[in-house]
Amino acid sequence: MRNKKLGARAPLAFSALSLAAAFVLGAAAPQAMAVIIPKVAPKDLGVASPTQVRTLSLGLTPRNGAALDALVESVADPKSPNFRKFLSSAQFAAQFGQTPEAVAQVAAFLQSQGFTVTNVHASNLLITFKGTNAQIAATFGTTIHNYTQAGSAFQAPATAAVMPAQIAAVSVGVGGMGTRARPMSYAHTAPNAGALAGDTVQPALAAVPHDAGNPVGSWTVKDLAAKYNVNPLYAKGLTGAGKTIGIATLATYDQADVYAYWAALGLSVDPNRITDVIVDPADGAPGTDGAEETTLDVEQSGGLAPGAKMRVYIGPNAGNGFLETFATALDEDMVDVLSASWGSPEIFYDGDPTLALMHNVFKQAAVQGIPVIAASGDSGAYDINRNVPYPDCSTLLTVDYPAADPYVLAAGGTSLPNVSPHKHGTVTQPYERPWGGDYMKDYITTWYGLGLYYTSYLPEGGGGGVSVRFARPSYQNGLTGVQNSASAQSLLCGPTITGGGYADYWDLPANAAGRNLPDVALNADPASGYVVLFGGVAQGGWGGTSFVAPQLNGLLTLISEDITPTASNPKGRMGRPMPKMYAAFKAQGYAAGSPFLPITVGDNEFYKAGPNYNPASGLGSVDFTALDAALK
Amino acid sequence: MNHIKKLALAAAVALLAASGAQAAPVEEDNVFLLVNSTENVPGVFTGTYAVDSVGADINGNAVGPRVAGDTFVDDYLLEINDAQDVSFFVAANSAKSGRKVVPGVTFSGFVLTDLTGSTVFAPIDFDFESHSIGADWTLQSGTYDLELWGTIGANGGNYSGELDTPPAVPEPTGLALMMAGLGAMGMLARRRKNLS
Repeated sequence: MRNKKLGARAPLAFSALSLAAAFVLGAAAPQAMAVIIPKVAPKDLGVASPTQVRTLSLGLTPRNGAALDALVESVADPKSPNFRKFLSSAQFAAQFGQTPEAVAQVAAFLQSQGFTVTNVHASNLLITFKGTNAQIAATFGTTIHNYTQAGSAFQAPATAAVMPAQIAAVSVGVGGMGTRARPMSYAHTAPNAGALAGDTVQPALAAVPHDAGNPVGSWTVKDLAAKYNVNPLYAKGLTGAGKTIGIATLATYDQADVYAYWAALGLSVDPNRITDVIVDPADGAPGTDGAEETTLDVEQSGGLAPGAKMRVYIGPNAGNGFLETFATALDEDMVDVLSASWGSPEIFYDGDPTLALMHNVFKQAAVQGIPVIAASGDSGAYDINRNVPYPDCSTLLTVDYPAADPYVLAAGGTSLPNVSPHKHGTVTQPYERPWGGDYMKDYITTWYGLGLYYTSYLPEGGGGGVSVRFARPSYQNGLTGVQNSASAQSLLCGPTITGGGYADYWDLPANAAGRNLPDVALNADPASGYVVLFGGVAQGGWGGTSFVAPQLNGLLTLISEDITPTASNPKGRMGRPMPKMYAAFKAQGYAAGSPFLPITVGDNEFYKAGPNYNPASGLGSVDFTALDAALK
Repeated sequence: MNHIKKLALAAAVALLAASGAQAAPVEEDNVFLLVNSTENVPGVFTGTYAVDSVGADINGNAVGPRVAGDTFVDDYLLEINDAQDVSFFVAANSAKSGRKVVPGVTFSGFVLTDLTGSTVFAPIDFDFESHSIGADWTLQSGTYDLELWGTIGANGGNYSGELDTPPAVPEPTGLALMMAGLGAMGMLARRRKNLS
């Protein structure tokens, strides 16, 4: 029971003065009210083993931070003399990394505390080191505890780490102490388990179809190219030749699958085009959980830009693994576009310096001219409700990370018109619309009950909404349809999660002028989805914004081939594309020749599509031939 | 002397009783979770939520009997996962106070906020004292607290009503309830006038 007392508000004994004050103050009066449901902290299960070894990333403060922020903006601004004057990773380190002396000093300090320094990144902004929980406690003044909250178990520091005085002046924070923000793959098929087992009838396929013209659900990259007007780019000879696609992923895969996929399509590719880079700084080598994600990432991006080389950075899905995977790719500075189809709710990073460290890594990408693309999530407007399902907990408007970072291109999802076969009949989705499971509501409710709809299809859709952790970037300013965060966003969980009673786990700020996402959206609905060749078997009915991120990767790689290299941009890189994309939209809208195609019907479970930017489908879907003209 | 002491004691008791009447016992707050009564009805995605002060609170604790003079604050938590028009209406029952039939509850205010109370979606009607109250809102996806407070007019006093999503225009059942509530208030007012 809550603690507030009626007497605190004395509603029944108002004097004329207090009554007047209440009306004058208007909305101010209720500010005095207490929280009605107590906020519940994660349940502390006690101190984690002091001997547990973890690998951590110490982020160093960029030198000339203000100049770095300015350069991030100016290299992407066509009006700036710095436009596309990108830096190499060595130049980045020289200008913005810490000095070698400072780095050596920090490394020596860590070693003096008993840690093992395993890597100093080329940026001179990240040091990878390994040590025990006991050493962390002794050095950073915090103990690692085991916790559970809302059905999830994780480890986290009990208090904020305190940076030792010897290194505090040059340090941002330590990433990898917690395990709460464990990225998830955003590749999946339609809900087809438990009570819904056998409900979705997957497209029957003997092999990956060779030609375009396949029904939705069995699409290949050729169908995508036809839909979004990519073929004129191929016709002018663009294949991605001379470029390198980068994939940041957290699971291993089998190269044989992806070569077989391209072979089935008749694509001419270099048989040695792929280089796998195993990133192994963390607690164990990369695993196979999510192997289908890596497989489709490579198939899709490489299939759309068959002339490009590929580097696949595979990190472990633990601790600082995601951060180190991105950082490794940018240190190498060998890829021209980089994408990831993994993520987790941005609020899972609350209190975790990893978010700030990754933000600095994305700044590095921006000034090196490498677009970074991330899937915007597959849970519609309610990103967190894949982790904490409704109605065990309330719905909460949340967005996914790293797509929420304004230096990352957020890849959203649409649904194409389709008639999907199900156990009890077909379901017709007649429009191109933001991907959202609500069009399945009638069918699922009729045959399985509303409860099953809530647990299976409510958290299904193209991720999109308003970040409450990243401010709105300048490229979204003044754009009709961009929104502030919604009010009344609390994650209220009931007895099935708490074990008894109700608890309020999160209260998100209302009216925050945050980064809106996605930026653009392409077909991602499993019902109108794709074929994946995985484990030697071709299977249709795959979807997720996991497809959109690598598709954009391959297609931006094609477009970057159309950028003429210069002395100040010798690799002919595109750089962070959002400022130019939004500028093109502000100039052209959806007029003929615009790179963007409007999505005006439907929603992503909450945010509605419309004739302007919207957090369901962003700027819309894309005409890539027109986008080439806008970006090259 | 004893007589004076008895008089003083009686006066003190009377004073305490009088002060007690001015500051009636304060009920512990009750928090109710509004559960969609049309859950699992095929094709129905909005609901009617029963709003009453009888039964168990959010944690299954029985709401204790309320007596005349008690004040209360009742919270109703509502979770909406889409934009909705919401209509809300509650009315007091009638209860006997001695020989008189009086409204069981006098409402003195209500407010709709988020769970922290920091965002207000409907004003507090501090000067509103009535035996039936209602409002319409358009709400976005979110978790809300509808807070209602008042005074029990007679032993056995309670209230009931509905929260509906939608209609923006009251459905016949809601309208009937509203009309019945208004009719009851009118009858009570007429009876009081006759008695006076």
